[in-house]
Amino acid sequence: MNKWMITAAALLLTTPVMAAQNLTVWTRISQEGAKPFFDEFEKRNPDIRLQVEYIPGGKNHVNKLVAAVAAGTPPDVTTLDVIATEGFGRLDALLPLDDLVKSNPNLAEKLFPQGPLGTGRYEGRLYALPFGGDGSLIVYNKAIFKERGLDPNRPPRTWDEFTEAARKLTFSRGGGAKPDVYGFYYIPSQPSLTTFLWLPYFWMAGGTFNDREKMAFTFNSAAGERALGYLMDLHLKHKVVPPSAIGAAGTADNMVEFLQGRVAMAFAGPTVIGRVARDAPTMEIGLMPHPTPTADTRSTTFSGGDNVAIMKGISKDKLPAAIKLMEWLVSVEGQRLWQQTKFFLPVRVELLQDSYYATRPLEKAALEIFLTAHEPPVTAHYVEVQQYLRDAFEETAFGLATPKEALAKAAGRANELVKRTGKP
Amino acid sequence: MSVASQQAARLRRPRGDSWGAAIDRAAGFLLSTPALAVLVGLMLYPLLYAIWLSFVQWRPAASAWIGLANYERLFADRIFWIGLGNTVFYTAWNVSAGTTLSLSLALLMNRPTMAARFLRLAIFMPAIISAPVAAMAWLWVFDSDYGLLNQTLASLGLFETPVPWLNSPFHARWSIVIVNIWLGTGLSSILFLAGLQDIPKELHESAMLDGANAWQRFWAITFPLIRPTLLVVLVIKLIGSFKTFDQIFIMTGGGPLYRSETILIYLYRQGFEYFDFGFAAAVGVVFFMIVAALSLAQSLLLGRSPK
Repeated sequence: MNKWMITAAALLLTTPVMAAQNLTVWTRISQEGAKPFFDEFEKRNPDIRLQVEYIPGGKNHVNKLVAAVAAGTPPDVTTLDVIATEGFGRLDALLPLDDLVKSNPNLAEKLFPQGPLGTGRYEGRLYALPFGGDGSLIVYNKAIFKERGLDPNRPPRTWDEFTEAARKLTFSRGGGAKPDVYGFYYIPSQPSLTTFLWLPYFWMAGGTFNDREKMAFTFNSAAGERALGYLMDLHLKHKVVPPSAIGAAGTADNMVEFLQGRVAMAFAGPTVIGRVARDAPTMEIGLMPHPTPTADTRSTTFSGGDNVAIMKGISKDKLPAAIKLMEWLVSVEGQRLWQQTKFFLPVRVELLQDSYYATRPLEKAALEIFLTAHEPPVTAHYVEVQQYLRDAFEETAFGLATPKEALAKAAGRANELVKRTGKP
Repeated sequence: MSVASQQAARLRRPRGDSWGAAIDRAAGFLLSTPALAVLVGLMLYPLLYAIWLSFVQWRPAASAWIGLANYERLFADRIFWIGLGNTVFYTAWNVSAGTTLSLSLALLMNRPTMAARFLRLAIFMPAIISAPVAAMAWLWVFDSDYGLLNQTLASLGLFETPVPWLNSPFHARWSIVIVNIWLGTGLSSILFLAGLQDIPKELHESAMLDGANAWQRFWAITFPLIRPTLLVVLVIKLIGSFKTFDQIFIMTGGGPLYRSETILIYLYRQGFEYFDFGFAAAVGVVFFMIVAALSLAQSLLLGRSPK
């Protein structure tokens, strides 16, 4: 009898452990960047066990996730590059969240800035929620500003001011004809960088990327030409960008020149704060939003970073745990962990009021810039069109086409894609 | 043994032999089953699956049969032809210049001197370095502002404007050719060296006594006797050059303006950036057919059919 009672008691005691729900989670974020999120979640939810696979490197994560989707063995939850979200939406690999965000106040759409939220949409449906933010901005070297008589606390605000500043910041310390310091740096050959950089200028010039009703890409407009013309003039006309940036490989490190003090301003993201602290700790930097075409235009940026999504193949019994994890990852408390890991910026506006930012002006500036992010283009072909735009930028940079011709060609290719697939 | 029993044994023997042969065949089949399973599972099945995939528009849930549409689109795409043209360009240079250089170096190394031993080590070194690591190192050699090559050329006063080795549509392809040859020379030189050391010394000695010069000895003795090695080197270089990916992907990503693009970078972009796996499979099938045809043609031209 005693034996039976002991067995029954043991079973009862072990029941919570046996009932623990296991969730598989994949992320492209490094352990240093994301582990605190998952550790804290497990601490708060002892009935849920996470099997987290860290797959650093955006392409590694995407490739592995595609293979897993194809094999029918995806994880339950994944964080993923905002740019890749559309691709997995197209593959019908993610669980639509529209009903969930309407019924669950912890995941409501109104909690998030519209720009980052838009990156989770595909074909009008919501497949992912913002998890970590990364908006494009411009970093500048305060010492070079001072050296050239510019006020480091009042960076240029308009396109004209920016050009003028970049010209002043392009100079030769040794007095030679060839500059050894350039005003600005960006590489026109990186697909993600080109749209990351060009789109804010395009939007600020009043451009509309595509017309879904007319099933057409419309970026080859006067606004598109103006934005591309402005950026290319920095290279070709004003010569304030190092010539070696033209044709540099898509994989090139676009921060090397800046970190070595050979460039005064560079196109960057918020991670530049940590990068400078690590690689050039004595360099005093400032962050500025993208300059605007006119003084009364509001600056904007492109919303990058990671989203969090639940995979479509998740079993019904695991779904509540996955939702709980999602709630935690996007919650104010969860998002505060970005202040600790610094891998991304928080996606919750409320955090801007945290005392944390009062003593960290650079991080505050990066967050403020990110929160101005424009909603990204809604298209089924973002990755392909990004490549076509990159081609347009290269053709312009090498002098093979005018911005008008290059953008018209890119739009032609993009519209061909729409025609073939029947999707805008 | 009685006559009857001898007859019975004679009658049994053939039956016993056929059983033995059957058992031998079964054992052979069973022993090769693991290798066959690997072959079928990891090579034949993926190949057949890729062929099927090339006729569909791939979706994880339900792929749609679209016939030859992927191939039609592929052959109409200008960038595919640029990639194919560049792949042939890299292959032609790697096979011709790479093989000539390897053989020349092997002839230099085929001497009992300390310098030859050092040369063997130095030349084989790139073969043990992985292509991505080598590509990262070459990025810094070719860097137009700080690279070793430009710094050296500048210090020699050979130019004033830095050469954009990887950034210009003209130079990028040639820079890749240099890296491909550098990476592939070590292994082929060592293969040639092994072939050269198999040639009996007496042949050269008797030719020298007959008054043959080095050039004549090379064409009359060395070259015919290293033909089998040459075939192996050519096949390795041909297929290796066609499937070159890592160093180009890292160094130029196929640019600028697709001037260093290869068929495999094109395939990668279609599959893993656009998720168009059906189309990417069509690229893969065309690629497979080209490599198979070239390997067969090369074998036939060099007088050996593949077995």
